[in-house]
Amino acid sequence: MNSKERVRVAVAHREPDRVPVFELSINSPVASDIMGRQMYVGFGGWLVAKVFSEWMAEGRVLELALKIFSDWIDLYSHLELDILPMPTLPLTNETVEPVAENQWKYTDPDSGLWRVIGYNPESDYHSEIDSRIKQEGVPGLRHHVEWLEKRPGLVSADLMAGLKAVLDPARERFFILGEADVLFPSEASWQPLFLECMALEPELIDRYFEATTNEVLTLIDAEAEAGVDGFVGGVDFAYHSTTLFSPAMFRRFIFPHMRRITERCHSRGLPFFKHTDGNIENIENELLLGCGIDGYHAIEPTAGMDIARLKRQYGDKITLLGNIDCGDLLTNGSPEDVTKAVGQCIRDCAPGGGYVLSSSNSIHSGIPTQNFLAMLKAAREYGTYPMRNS
Amino acid sequence: MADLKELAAALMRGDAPAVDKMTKEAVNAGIGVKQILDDGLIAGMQVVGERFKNNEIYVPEVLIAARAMYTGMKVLEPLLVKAGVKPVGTIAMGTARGDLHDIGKNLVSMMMRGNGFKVIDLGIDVSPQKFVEAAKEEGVNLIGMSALLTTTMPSMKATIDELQKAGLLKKVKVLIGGAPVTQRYAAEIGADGYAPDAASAVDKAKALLGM
Ligand code: B12
Repeated sequence: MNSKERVRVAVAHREPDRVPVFELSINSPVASDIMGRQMYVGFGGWLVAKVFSEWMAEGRVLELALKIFSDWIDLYSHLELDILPMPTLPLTNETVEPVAENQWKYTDPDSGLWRVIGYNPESDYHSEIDSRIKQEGVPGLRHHVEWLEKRPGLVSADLMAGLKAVLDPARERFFILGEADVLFPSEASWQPLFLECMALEPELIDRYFEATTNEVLTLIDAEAEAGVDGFVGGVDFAYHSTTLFSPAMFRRFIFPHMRRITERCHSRGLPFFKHTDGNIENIENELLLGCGIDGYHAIEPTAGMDIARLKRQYGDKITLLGNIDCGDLLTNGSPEDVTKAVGQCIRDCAPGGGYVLSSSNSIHSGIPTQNFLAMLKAAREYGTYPMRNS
Repeated sequence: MADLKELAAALMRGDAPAVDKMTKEAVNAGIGVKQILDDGLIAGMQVVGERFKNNEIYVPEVLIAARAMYTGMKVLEPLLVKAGVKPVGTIAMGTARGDLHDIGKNLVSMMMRGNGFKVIDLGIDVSPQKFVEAAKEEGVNLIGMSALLTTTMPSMKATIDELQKAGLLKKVKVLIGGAPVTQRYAAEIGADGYAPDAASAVDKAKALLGM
């Protein structure tokens, strides 16, 4: 059974030959350690802030995108992972200039919007530290929304052809996931402003989600044409104790667009998996069953998401992906601890299919390589169907 | 007093223009600044903290309440200075070195301000050295550290060690928090206090200062 079939069977809630394995991202330090060379992968700061900025400033975007794809495919092949998500790519029309050590300013020539990205070499982290929207407040956000409403589509024939070509070597080997989501700006420097506007300027926020989802729908079409096998939405909606905003706000701003997205995926015959960190108990039923999603990824155990309970409650309707804690267990635990947790998770969730193993977020730069490898090894050891004690 | 209850209610709704107007009205009506602060702004912010802790309201509602509170504070601050009203304590807050998660830290800062504390915001990715510098500043009697990543938690210990070396642990109490942090961890690294959420952070801070 190849990876594609393995995932399809598991998602159809039947038992394949073994539990499929997935990671949303593997950061460069861990990947480089495994492959014995500098890997251009993941969403750590070195790649996404430093290399993106420097290579873009030198006009080497295409070269970089190709390098990322080829490293990504090499890594996932080497690790024998079953699902290949789209890597993080430098897809932007913005111009880049350095403004301080490890800080770069990105400016969009058409809209005039700018943002500053910072990188911390010590921890391999990066983030948007400032932006025109943050500086200007509500008028800045309004300007952004107006721009989103009128800007020309992102999908060009070139992009489509390029995507098709780079995915070619992976198509036979993997179940490939494209990207699509309701774009709550969880990584933007103006996220707090956005949260305030959800309460004070709801019509503006309606327009934001309408415009961004319209673009996402065209991206879904393009990625489907390029041959992906499904989609994942990576935007975080929750933190350790609950969701970032109220169920009422989810009903107004998020769920209707979530449904537009899943309907578009389904019209193409492709499943949609929703990733989110954190505790989603207060919207669980509505999000997992009411929005047409086919799978739920991350399932953060330290935020109180109990995968055994979720399996009992939703296991026959959606696929569960994740739950191996990357916060404490994979970061500070021993390989034996990791092996034990994987065994438990598989015993709880794998019987009958509908489970894909992965960490509870990603293989971030603080995870020791041996723990990640122990997780993959245990997935093989315990993940073979038929399960002995099921 | 009826209108201070109204003021607290406006703050809880996040109605900044109303808070601005009602604070000014209360001042003009001759109500003492300390009383406007305590029974209006602080009273409102305490309810906000409590509701947030119980998941009855969410981050957006806290943010707009805090914004409303600041408009009221702006009116009161010069008067508080004139009247010689001192902050209940001064806390220097930042996220641990390497940590960029600042939503939680900002909420704690807002709740502290909303309870009469002066807050010095050290921002994100704060080095032990920077915390030490802040701890030396006049009036600072609390250090608040926030970590959301398991990998940045050790830097909280490093900070406490540096504070110890600099002989500052008698001057300042250290309060820590963030999703992966626990009471046990706080005890382990010698922090004076831990709190799981912004409202409890205020209670803990007051307790540490003997209030
Ligand atoms: C939003 C978010 C981000 C945003 C941050 C935006 C910002 N400006 O803050 C972005 C996208 C930038 C981000 C990046 C990353 N993140 Co992140 N992120 C989150 C998420 C979803 C929510 C955090 C949040 O905002 N909570 C909302 C606030 C209100 O809650 P809070 O911070 O816990 O604060 C409350 C209490 O803890 C307490 N408190 C907080 N501070 C203090 C301080 C004191 C003194 C006291 C008393 C109390 C207190 O009071 C607050 C209010 O009640 C969490 C998920 C989670 N489970 O928490 C992951 C999470 C924290 N992230 C995680 C990871 C791994 C990362 C990255 C490494 C990802 C990567 N691979 O690159 C990077 C690291 C960046 C960095 N250097 O910090 C992991 C951490 C795992 C771990 N334990 O180590 C989490 C848990 C996700 C997961 N599923 O594993 N993230």
